[in-house]
Amino acid sequence: MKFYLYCVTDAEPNLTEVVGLEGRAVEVVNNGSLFVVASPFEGDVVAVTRENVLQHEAIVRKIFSTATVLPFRFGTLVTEPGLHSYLSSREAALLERLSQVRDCIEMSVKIIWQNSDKFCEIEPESQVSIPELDEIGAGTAFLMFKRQELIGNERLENEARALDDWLRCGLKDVVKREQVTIEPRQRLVVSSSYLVEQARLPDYRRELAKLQAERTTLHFLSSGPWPPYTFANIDLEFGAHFGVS
Amino acid sequence: MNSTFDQVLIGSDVEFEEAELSLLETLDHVLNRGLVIAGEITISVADVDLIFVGLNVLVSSVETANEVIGARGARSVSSAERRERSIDR
Repeated sequence: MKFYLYCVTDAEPNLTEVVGLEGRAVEVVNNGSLFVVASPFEGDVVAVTRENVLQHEAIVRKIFSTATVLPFRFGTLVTEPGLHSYLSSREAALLERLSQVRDCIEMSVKIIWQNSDKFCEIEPESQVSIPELDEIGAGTAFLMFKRQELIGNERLENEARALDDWLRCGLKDVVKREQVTIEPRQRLVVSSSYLVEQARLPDYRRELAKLQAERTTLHFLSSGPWPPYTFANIDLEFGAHFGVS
Repeated sequence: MNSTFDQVLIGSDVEFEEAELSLLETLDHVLNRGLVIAGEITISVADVDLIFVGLNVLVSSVETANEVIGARGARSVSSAERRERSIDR
């Protein structure tokens, strides 16, 4: 038999009125100091439907309301022996990670470039003068266009990094950890997740509001509080799976 | 929807309803993040399009789902600069 996994915690969770994916039962699998909230699952695949995703989130959030949790990623199916093996071999790392996120919530900030033509803009001083084609060869023209594109990319990267630095400096006193993704060529240029102590949430909100007031030309998408999805991973597994650290 | 938004600022060139953004953020967290047991994720993508139509402009959830099942999306997760910082206070 397999289990569909919702989250792991270090205190026996209260499962009163908790219903699993597609109406399945929800139970606790105990191994040492760890308790996993899971549903017995027949089959090999979990359908990615709106209902299932929201139900997964609702169950994690319900457990999170009374306990410290590490949420499993949606779609995690594991055999019972595999689950016990995982918990036994990773107990110390999971307990350490649970201690890191205890009494904390996750907050997210996404920053979106406002202008869709942002990627076409070139500062006047960076403009490369490209002569008419009959004055130069096609190959030369191509290289000059390429150079202009690279200058534009570099400028976008610098702007994105400056944005990240500005956000980090503004929030560094009110967050415990952060994970930032910068994508200068995307409209969603900065995507940040912050681990915030629950007691400091008002401070976080105040500082973020100040930052938003400073840059009225940027779109901010701010959400939370979330269970610590972004900070749940044990580095070893995350790096092995995605090739990043 | 259980997730809450502190603030959503939408300009004239970004047209999403708050409910869509709330769903989008939920997808981003539940599908993109969370504890992973390497090699144990099994996801069916039969209904992915129903979820993501119109929403994949802002997040990479579709790409992550594709990567999980072995398909290759237009852009790799690793193409973005990602880092985690611990802030000592």
